[in-house]
Amino acid sequence: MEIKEQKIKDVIVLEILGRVDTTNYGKLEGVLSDYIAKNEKNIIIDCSEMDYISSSGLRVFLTGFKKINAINGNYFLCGLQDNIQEIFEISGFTSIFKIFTNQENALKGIE
Amino acid sequence: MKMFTVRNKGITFKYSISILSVTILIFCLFLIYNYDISKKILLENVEKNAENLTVSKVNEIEGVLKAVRKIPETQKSILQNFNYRSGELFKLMKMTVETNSEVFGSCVAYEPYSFFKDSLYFAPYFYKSGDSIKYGNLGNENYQYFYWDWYQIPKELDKAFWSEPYYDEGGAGVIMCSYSVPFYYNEDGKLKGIVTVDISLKWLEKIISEIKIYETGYAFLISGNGTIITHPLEKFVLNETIFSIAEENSIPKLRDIGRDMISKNSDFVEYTSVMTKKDGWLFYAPMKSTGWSMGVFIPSDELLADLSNLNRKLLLMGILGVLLLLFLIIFISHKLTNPLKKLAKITQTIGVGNFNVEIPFLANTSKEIAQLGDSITKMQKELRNYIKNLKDTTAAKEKIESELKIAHDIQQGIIPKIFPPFPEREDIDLYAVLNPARDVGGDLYDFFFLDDYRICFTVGDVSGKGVPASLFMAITRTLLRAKTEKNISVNKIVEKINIDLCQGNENSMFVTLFLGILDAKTGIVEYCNAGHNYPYILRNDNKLECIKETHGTPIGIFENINYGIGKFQLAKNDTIILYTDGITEAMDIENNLYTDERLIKLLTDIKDHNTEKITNTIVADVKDFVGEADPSDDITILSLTYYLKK
Repeated sequence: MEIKEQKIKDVIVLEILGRVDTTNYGKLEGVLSDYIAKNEKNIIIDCSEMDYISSSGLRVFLTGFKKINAINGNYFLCGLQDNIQEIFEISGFTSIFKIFTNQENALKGIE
Repeated sequence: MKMFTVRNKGITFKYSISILSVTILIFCLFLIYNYDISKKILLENVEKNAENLTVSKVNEIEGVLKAVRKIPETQKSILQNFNYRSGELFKLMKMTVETNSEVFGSCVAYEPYSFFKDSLYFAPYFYKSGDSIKYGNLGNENYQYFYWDWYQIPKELDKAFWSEPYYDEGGAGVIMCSYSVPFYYNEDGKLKGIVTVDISLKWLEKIISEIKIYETGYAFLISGNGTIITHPLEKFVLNETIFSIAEENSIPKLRDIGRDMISKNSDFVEYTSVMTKKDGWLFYAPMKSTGWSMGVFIPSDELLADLSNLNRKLLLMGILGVLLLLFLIIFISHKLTNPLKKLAKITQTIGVGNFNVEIPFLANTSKEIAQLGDSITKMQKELRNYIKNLKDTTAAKEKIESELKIAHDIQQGIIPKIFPPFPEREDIDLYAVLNPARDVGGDLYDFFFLDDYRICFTVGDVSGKGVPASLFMAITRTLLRAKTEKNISVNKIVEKINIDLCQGNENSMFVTLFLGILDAKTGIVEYCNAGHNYPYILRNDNKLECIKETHGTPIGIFENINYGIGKFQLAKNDTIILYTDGITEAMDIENNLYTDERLIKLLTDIKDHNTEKITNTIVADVKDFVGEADPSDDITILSLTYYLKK
């Protein structure tokens, strides 16, 4: 897994490349909690290059969501691949997260 | 077979070889250079010396010959101006031979009938014989002196003349050279006679042989036409010319030398002696007054003897020097390698696990060796610490592992493990498997009867793996048993568990859960799916159905969620199959997923409703798929077949 981090205006965009599984979810958790500790309120996770996510990874997504939600920030996901969209649908996460088709739309969503 | 290579040799050997090679090379170059330069200088000196020697000897002989020449020149004027009587003439001649040591003999030969009117011959001759002076009259019928060269040539040439060497038959019977001077009548200038002085070739030879040139060097004299006049080899004298020797011995070079010599030139040339067969140099120079030429031969081995001697000494010194250097290198190398060998032995001892071996104090060693010693001591200490830590860690790990083993047993203990679980019932058969990826896992299954006909069954999956997931699983299972009351609906059970799980769930752990209650009398299943994988129903006719209805997010996330309820009907021999994503997301060595499609195909092809067989077939197929890869997630399957027996 690789995480590309960038800041567009006041939005942190994290692009995840590859697989999020039990061996590396800690890295993503670390990156997310660092931004939250810096009082970043707007986070977009771009999943267009993310091939797989395990339940451990889903838990990290969820933790981030809860923390941002608690400070009334925006926590958007975008670009979910079909198989991941399906996992999200089965687990009901599509009803928790705000999910956009691509990064551009997600950024517009924050504006 | 062990090959001989420099690489396998020690430092001592390698250093010795390389240093000595370079030293020997430098020494050899020096020696060659020295020999070359010295030879050049020596040759220059030799040429000069040879020239000086030859020229001085030539001059010496010339000086003597000049003195000899003066005698008949003086006598000539006396003989022209005075008419001696025979007695007075004899007295004068005897005195001349007596007083001049270099003169062998002297003759005054008159023209026929010019001294005594009646005498054809008159040629008184005085010569040395031992210590006395002897007298002879040269003219007689057998020795008509008028026709001899010493008389005839000056007469014809009308001037003084040095004869070639010849054997004098008339007088003394020795080999000699004569200087002949014609004298005349004052009145008419007609020839009166010839006055001569002779020098013995023996005398000339003595002078030449006195020229000492090294051990086997020598000098020789040739006449104006190349005849050998003096030579250390007596058989050459008068018998050979320089040209006949060149011819006999096939030495064209000698012919050239001979030509140059009789042309009154001087030179310094390389030459091989005919007599001694030695290589060397020849210097020659002319004697102007006689037209002769003197040659001096210098053998090169004697000439270069000093140089060879010097080189031999240098070579000896060089060898001694190299040997000394060799000993020095060996000594230094040993001093250097001895502590290294000691240290190597010690590290070997450390290498086999003996960390307490004492490292001796390495006295008189170089800074680097001492540093190496210190490093090894440090390494030894670090290794000791490391091994101690390793032992502690291993002990701690073993403790944790044994605790995990116990935890595994406890976890397996809290789920029903006895199959068939209800052997007395003919309407329901059920089989389940839970294989954690590690010792303990986050999957769970459970089943129990609420009353005589209603059976509650569930499969759940806690996010993550290992100990945290297993604790969360244990809580979930406990809550399930606690919250399930007799007439409660499935969604309410899920809601109650959810509320309790959300309490103090800082890490957002969650559980996907499928909870169903089958009424064995009707075959109706009421269920609630909280974000769990869709279960399958394998119908009696082997058609596979997927129950895609879900009722909300996994439990443990949000407290205030109302879950819905779903329903389906089971007919006779229908089998419901629940599983966790450890099946569909099982990974092979290349990280390919097992997938829903493969599960669907497997279930479609199975055509059997025996729960144990279905469950084990899936487990075996997943195991087959995963192959060598580590198990990525816990695997749980629960199959339930409804037989509709009252």
